Amino acid sequence: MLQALLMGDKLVLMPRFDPLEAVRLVERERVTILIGVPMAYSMMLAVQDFDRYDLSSLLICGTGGAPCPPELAREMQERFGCAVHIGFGTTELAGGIAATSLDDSGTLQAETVGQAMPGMEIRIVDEQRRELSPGQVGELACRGENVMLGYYRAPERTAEVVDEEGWYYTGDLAVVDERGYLRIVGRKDDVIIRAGVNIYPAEIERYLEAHERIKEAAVVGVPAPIGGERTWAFIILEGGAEMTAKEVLRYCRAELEAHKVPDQVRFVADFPRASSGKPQKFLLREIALQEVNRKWSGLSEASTHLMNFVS
Amino acid sequence: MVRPIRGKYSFDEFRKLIAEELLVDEEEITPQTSFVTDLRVDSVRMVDMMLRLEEQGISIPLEAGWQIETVGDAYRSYLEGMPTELQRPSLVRGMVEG
Repeated sequence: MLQALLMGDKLVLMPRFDPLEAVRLVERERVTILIGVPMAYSMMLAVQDFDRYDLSSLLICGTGGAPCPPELAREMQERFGCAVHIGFGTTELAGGIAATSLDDSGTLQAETVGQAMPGMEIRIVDEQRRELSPGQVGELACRGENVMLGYYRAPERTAEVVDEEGWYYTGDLAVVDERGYLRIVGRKDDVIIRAGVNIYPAEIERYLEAHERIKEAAVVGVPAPIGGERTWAFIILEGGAEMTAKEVLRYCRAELEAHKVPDQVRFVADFPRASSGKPQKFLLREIALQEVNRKWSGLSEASTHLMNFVS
Repeated sequence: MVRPIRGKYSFDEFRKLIAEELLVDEEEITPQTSFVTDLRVDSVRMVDMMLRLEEQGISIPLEAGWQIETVGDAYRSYLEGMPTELQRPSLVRGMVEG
């Protein structure tokens, strides 16, 4: 928005997002650059008769604010008929960290958040904040002139995320390739620890969402009464589609390693969501926990204790 | 719900329980079916499964649990545990005692 104001471009704003109205506006106003969170694009693509609208004015679909599954990015490229520009940033860095370029291949645009922006250093670190090699998953750290001075009146919290050398630790799990293309895997605090093995929900969610009948998936770790966490997949099916948990698991078993196959599958009409549209996973976890507690209330304390030991 | 006949499950009944537990089709399971390779059952899922099978009256000795590779192995362990069940610690009791 600020860029458009700076350049003297016309801005078409929506006081409240409505997918049908958004598509109509693109056609009527001949919008060239469309900006929205991934969820907004999913909703627009689901508009009835979407392909009848003339969206040929579009040059770029820009998105960010939440992970954009590669399948969605590809569908955006194909059906909006333009480049997809995924930006990645945080408030603590006054906006951008990385972005794809219009010169990048369709695959890079769909599967990565691009390379670090000018003036931004990035690195991937382990739990001890030691730098990892390209290809290894770890926490994304960034350094540059745009790193915040600190959280307002919270020096302790600031010290937790900004070190003495000026590196800001984002809490995002990411991997960078040899050329510096960054791929976000998930949030550090989203990691499911299942019998000592780290599982990254975003990886399973991406796999599930690649299925033609699955619209959206949210994978959470739920403490199990017999040790560690178990993986629960909450799934929203495409409109009119039908699928059983057995079919979901068969699909997962075909490609995923054993420990990544969800332990439980639940179908829901929608997720509890934050105002950004992101699923509120802590609430999904609560729903699962209630079910677990009901189911396992009969398990003896002794066996629970000992199964914890085994796991 | 599968019920044991005269206190002992046949392989077909055993297979049905495994299929229900792991959400797979019964037809996919034979005695040669590998838990890890075919059914993607890792050690965590194996423990969960053994514990729930115990609720159905199927006790697989803990020490055998880690050696089991196929559904046939699991069924044999169950049968071998049957006659001496009172003397041989089951999964849950074995851990309470040991």
